[in-house]
Order: sequence, then structure tokens, then C-alpha cells
Amino acid sequence: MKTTFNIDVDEVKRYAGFKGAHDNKLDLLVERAISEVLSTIKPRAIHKILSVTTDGETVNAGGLVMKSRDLSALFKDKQSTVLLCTTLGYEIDKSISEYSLTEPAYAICLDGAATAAIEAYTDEVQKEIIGDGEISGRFSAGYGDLDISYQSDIIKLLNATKLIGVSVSSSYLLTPMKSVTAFADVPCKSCADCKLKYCIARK
Amino acid sequence: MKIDFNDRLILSDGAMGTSLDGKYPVGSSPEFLNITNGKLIASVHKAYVDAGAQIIYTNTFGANVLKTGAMTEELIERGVKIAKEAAQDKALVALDVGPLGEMIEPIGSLTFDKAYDVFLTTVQAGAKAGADIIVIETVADLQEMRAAILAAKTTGLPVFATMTFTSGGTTFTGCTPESFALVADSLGVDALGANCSVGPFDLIPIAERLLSATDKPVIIKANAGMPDSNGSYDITPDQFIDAYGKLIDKGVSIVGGCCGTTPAYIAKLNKLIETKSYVPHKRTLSTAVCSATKVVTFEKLTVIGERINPTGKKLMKAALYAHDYDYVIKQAIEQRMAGADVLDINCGLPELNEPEVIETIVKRVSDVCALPLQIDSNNKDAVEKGLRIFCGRAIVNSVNGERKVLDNILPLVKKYGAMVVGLTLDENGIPDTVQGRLTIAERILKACEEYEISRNDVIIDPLTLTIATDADNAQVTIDTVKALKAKGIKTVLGISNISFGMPDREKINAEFLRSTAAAGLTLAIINPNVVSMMEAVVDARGGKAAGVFNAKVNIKGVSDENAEGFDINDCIREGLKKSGVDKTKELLKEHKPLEVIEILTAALDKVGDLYEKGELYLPQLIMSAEVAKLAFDEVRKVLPESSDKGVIVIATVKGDIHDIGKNIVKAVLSNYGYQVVDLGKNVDEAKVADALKETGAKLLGLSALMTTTAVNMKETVKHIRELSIDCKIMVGGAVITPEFAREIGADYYAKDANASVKIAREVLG
Repeated sequence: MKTTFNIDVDEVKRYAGFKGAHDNKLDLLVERAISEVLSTIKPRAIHKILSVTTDGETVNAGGLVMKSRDLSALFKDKQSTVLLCTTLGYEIDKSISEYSLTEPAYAICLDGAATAAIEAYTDEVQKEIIGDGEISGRFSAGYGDLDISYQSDIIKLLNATKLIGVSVSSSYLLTPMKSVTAFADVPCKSCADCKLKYCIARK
Repeated sequence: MKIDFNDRLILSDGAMGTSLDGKYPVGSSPEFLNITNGKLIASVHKAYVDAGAQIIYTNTFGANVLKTGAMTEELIERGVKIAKEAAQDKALVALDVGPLGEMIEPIGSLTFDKAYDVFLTTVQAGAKAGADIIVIETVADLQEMRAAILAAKTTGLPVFATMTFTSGGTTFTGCTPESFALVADSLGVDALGANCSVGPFDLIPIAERLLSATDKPVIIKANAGMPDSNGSYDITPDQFIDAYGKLIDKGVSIVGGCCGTTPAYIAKLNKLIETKSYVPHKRTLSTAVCSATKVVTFEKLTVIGERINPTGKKLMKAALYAHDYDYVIKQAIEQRMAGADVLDINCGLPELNEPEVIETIVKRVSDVCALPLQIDSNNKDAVEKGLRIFCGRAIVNSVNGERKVLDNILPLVKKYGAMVVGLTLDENGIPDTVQGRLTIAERILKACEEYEISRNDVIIDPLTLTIATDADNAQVTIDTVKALKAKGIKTVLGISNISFGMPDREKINAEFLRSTAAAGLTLAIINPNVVSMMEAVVDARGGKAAGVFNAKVNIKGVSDENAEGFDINDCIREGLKKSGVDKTKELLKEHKPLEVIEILTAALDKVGDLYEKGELYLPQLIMSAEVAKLAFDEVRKVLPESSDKGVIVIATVKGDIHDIGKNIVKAVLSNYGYQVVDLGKNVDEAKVADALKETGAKLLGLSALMTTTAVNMKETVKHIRELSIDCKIMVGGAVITPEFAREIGADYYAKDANASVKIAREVLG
């Protein structure tokens, strides 16, 4: 199942920090960066559908207990959530590192393109999990009052290291750098059309 | 008791985690069940032993201080005990060591040393508790695997190593099966293989690559396919067996299962093994070095890039002193792009902490450059630091025929599984003859044998000496290469040394490369950024190299025959001995002897200026000095006292045997009329002091070519000063700088032979 996605040029520019007008030399760098990202990355994704309960202060997602009012608010009236992890792999991290020495200006564009890519890829992965329709925003460890330290528990729960090679450093940085973990909304429609066969709320 | 895992089929167990799913609280990990529910763990072990497993893995996959903190030792101790009780004597117990959970630099922030320490405490606990084997599994990063293997080897127990691969054929961090096999095999594991990540069919191509890269037993422990988002695996026991039948037929000899497998899978595997026979496999990959992602074999002429070396390179020297590592890395990338296969890393400079610097450079270069490296140093600590941190299989440059050096460096070569370069020189210097160099080569090979380093892993450097001092130098080297090739020994040469002091260096270097390649040279240390050198490499690889080295170099010159009308200046400049002597005799008829000496000295000075300007080269300088010597001899016949211009003591310092530079200085100084007392090479400070006292010399010249011996120069100067001997000291050598000369308290820095004359004039007159 190969997930295809597009990288938006404006998004790349936004991540690369281009504010306002610029000459087309930068456009060329962006074009080259997008092309290099697409040919270098090895995108992978895993997810689990977890049953969710909350008392307003704490969330229990599939047995993982997290203290967070913000996450609790999101899960109010929900019975399940998608916990996902996506990554572009280590190869692009290495390329960005190397270019930062030899072609620093290009390295910035490459980094921007890679960031745009992981976001676009994750959007597509979400779509595939929940079927057609609007995907929700994502809520990750480190957002709001959901402490970033839960990142380790999330990686463990998903078995992400073994399955797709994503680890957490002692300072809670995900490695590879272009990786995302997030809780995503499960929009409830009719059970008959729903792709989530194992949802606990299924009637 | 040494267990033999070779030449037979061995059944290991299946997954532990799969059987424990849901039996421990979310957020906790299965290792804690060793304490809270030992019975459950024991029952899983028993089920595997009953199913026929001959090796069972302990429930300690995630037991390390980073993950399980202070509980680690207890969890391991309990885990091993439970397994041993369950195994009785029917199965061996392997301490299961999983990845640390954090990535090592540069991917993550964990240092190699910290990772090693964590693995060390883990394996020590396992060995103490009585494990029979250490198995390191499910690791995706080669650097992490190296730290684990090095730690595991300290226990003396057999070590198994398996990495986790993706269906793309590499690990998540890009490590290839070949790189892993090369590194693990050379580090001395007893068996290696792949586990986890994909199902058995996807591991078949990876198994094949491992089988062709090692002679050691290959282990495969596949998942029962891929899990879906609910954790159900898609490969049935029958399909599993089907794949394993194929794996065993290809030569895999240690089999088991990983995630998703249960005792049922192992029982079926057991039945399969009873019907199958062990299939031997043979390594087809030839001797190689590697990084995590790139393997370099030596089938065609291999290029080692020489630019990361401060000797004679002002910018590199400055960058190293300034800790400008970006400059160094850029040089690495440039050489890679120019076509280098391996990069030489040398950061030996006086007053530089070589071990620290080499560690930093090796780390940073391999972060961005995937080439295997050659650790170039005579400093034992630097060699160890470089080898330890390099993620791959390296070459050590170098050892030589001196026993002390061999005993110093070869243990490190063995420990880190590297290849090694042996220089055909020893404490007596460099033999002039082919046979002399071959004898030293044999001595080196024999010593390597004593340290269990295979002849295939030794590369002999028969040494390149400049044709500026002797035109025959090239042929001796070429012939030695030929002789070594005939014996099946690999060779390496620092090509550009051939043209030191000559004009047209590029042309000479390229021609030398072609002729040594034609003689069978295996590796060439060159500057790959020079187009003519890479052209020569391409020719050599395509079999288009010339076989004869033409040592005739285009030095503009005349001969005695057409020296009509030449005055003494011309004769000295053009190196015309006969005409020079004749002209001197004529001069002595018309001038007083002292005046003639002045004339000759002025002529030599003019030559020195031309040499400095680069209009004249070293061979010509030497030839001019030789004419001047003969001319001075003529003057001495008439005026014997005129010969005494003062005594100069010169020596190459202790530990250093390079004396070409010193000999040139001696020749030039004595030709100017100074009395030179040459103490030779490898001279300790006491002997220098004695010579100064005996001769009453007012000028001392010290030479050192190596950074490791520059420190002895410092010691010698200190010693002379402490004894309050009244003399001036001048120092020189390829790694010596004016700053270093100042630092160690020398009076003068002599850039070259010419400079030494100027200094002698100033000090002695």
C-alpha cells in the first residue's frame, strides 16, 4: 500500500522561512528541494485504534493514562481515537546534514520541503485510515498541556521502533527528525460504511 | 567449555513478547514479569523447550539501565535464572539484549561511550547470572550493534548478533547486510543474522546476502509476517515452514521465530529440521572494508584520498589547530565526489591532542561521508580512539618491522577487526633492495599471524622514496610491488612522495601510478582532486597502464661538453663537476684562496636563491652543492686551514628514523665549508648533549618528521638548556612550524637546507 501525496510549494516556502517577495533563484532551490525530497524519502506509517475514556482531567487511551485537560476536551464524547506515527526515514536527515555544510541555503529549502512532506504524508495516512472525507487536526505530545514526555509511552504503545524505526531521544526528540506521532479524531458516521472494523463503539 | 555452533542445524525459540501480550500493564514492559510473574515466563520457556528449542532467549529484551533503571540487574538475574531452570540441561540459555531505545549520535543524542557502558552493565549482569550465550538482537543501527558486540566480547561468552532489516534490504538506518556481516564477523561474533521486522519470505534475499558475506553460521528469526493495526500476524505456521525450508536449503543454520510466533511454530520448525540436513555455505565476498552503507573490495585499483593530513598542507594544519572541522569535512566530501574509495584521516600535529581530535574528525566525517576510512597515526591512543568510533571496518596505517610497534598496534587491529598497513622499514631504516623490503614484509606478516590477523587483511607499503635523491628509487618500489603481488599480498603506496623536490610533480606522479598499477598495486594514496591522477587511475583500472617508469625528467640542463665560456657561477648552477673544478683551478691562479672561497660561496648563494624562488629543484641544489664541494676541495689543497668554518652537530631525534632531510642539510652545509658532525637518526638527548660537549659545537640542528617524535625534539631542547650548554639550536622537519620552534625554545626554524645555511652563517660566520 503505497501512499501518494503532493508537496505544496507554498508550504515549503513557509517552512523555509520565506516571507514575502523573493527572486526566482529561491524558486529554483525550492523546486530542486521538492524533487530531492521525493526521491530520497522512505515514508512509513503505523497506527492503532484505541478506545478512549476521560474524566475531564485525565485521558485513558487504550490503557495509556495521560494527564491533560486539552486532550480530555478533544476526547469529550468520543469513544475511540487513532494513534498514529509516521516518518520519512533517516536518509533525508542525512542529506540535510550534508548540505548544511556544502550548500547551506539549499539545506534550508530541503528542510522546509521535508517538513512539508511529512505533514502532507501524515494527512494522506489519516485519510486512508478513516476513509473519505475531511480529516481532523492532529494532537501530539507537546501540544497544549499534553506533556512531551508521553512521547516515549506513545512510541512504546505503537511498537514504533521495531515496526517503522522511530525512536525517542532522552530529550524527547523523535528520531528520524521528520517523524510525527499524533492522536487523530475518528469522525463517527454510520457503522456500516466505516472502515474501522475493530472500533469498540461499533454497533 | 567452548560450544561449537558450526556445521549443524540449531533450533532456537520463538517470540516471548507475543505470548505476554496483555499480561502486563500498559506503560510497563514485559521484563518486570520476571519478578511479578516468574511462573508465566517459565511456562513460556518450557513450552519452547518442549517444542524442541535448543537455545532459548531470556525475557530481558528491554532490560537495560536506560529503560529499566535501577531494576536492571535484578531483572536480568531473575530472567537468566528462570530460563536456566526451565531449560534444565536440554537447552542453552542466551541473554537477550535488545536495542537501547535511544539512537546513537549523529542520529540521536546518545554517545557511543554511554551506549557501550549501558551494554557493558547489561552483559556483565547476564554473564554473572550464568547465561551461556549473549545474543544482541533487533538492532537497526550498526553503531549501536558495534557498541553492544564490543561490550559482549568482554564477557568471554559466545556472541550472537542479529539485526532487523526492512523488505528494502537494509536496516532503517541504511545499513546493508554486507556491511553488518563484515563488521560483526571481524569483531569476532560466533554467529550473525537477521531477526524481526519482516516475515520469513522477505528475509530470504537478506539471508542470501548474509550467507555470501561470512563463513560464520547465519541466524534467521523471522516474524510471523506483518502485524495489522490490531496486532494479528498474517503468516501461518505452515507458510512459515515453507519459507524456512528454503532458508535452510540456502545455508541458514540457526533458526527460530520472532514477533507473532508461538511454540506451535517452533514445534513445526523442529519437525522440519528432522527432515533436513545442514547445508554448508561459503563467503564469496572478497576481503573488504566498509562503512555502514558502503562496502569497498579491492578487485580494481582502490583510491585512498590523502587530503586530510596536515603534513605539508598549510591550510589543513591551520584548520586543525583552529578546530575548524567544517573545513576538514568539506575536504572529505570533495574527495568523495572526485572518486576516492577510502579516505585517509591523519591529524597528527605537535601540541594537538591527537586522540581527541581524531575521534572528533572520524565521527564528523563519517556523519556526512559514507566512505570507509584509513586511520593514519602512530599514536596508540589515537589509533584506538579512531577505530573505536568509526562505524564500519577501517584500515590502520600503520605498523612497520619494528617489534615494539607491532606489539603496540596489532592488538588494536585485532580487537576492532581492522585491516592493517605494514611499512617495509624498521629501526635500521629503509632497505635499499627489494629483498630487504620483502624480508621486513615477511616479518610483519608473521607478527600478524601471531595476533591471529589473516594475511588477507594485511596491506604492505613498500615505500615510495623521491627520485630527487636517487633515480633508482622508483624501480625498487615497483619491483617490490611486483614481488608482493606474486605472493598474493596486497600493496599500497603514497604516490606523490615519488616527486618530492622535483618539477612537473603531476606528470611524475601520474606516470608512477601507472607503472605501479601495472606491477599490481592494490591501493594508491593520492589526491583525487588532481585530474591527471584520476585519469591515471581510470587507465590503470581499464588495463591501459604503462609498464615501465620513465625516470628521466625534463630538467633543463647542459653538460660539460658545451660548457665553453661558462664561468664558475654557471658551472655550479648547472652542476658541472669537471668544468667547475677546472674553473676553480683557473681562479686560484688569479686570486688569493680566501677570495676564491668568497666567489664560490656567492655562487652557491645564488643557487640557493633560485631554489627558493622555485626556479631550481632539489636535485639541482644537490648537484650544485656537489660541484661546490669539489671546488672547495681544490681550495683546501692550497690553503688547508681555510676549511674550518665551525662545527655543527646535527641529528634526527629519538624515535625518528627519517633522515633524508637531515642528510641533504648535512651535504649542503659541509659543501659550504662547515664541519658537520652527523649523529645519525633515533638519537636520544643524552647523546646529543655529549656530542655538543665533546666537539664544542656552537650550532645544533635537530630534525623530526613525525608528530609523535616532535615531542622528543622538545625533550632534547629542554635537556640541552638544562645542562646550560652554550649553543644555538635550529630545528626543522615536515611537521615542524616556526610556532613550534618558538614554543620548545629553539633559536631558529630552518625551513629547508638553504635556510640552514643562512642560519649557520649568522651563528658561525
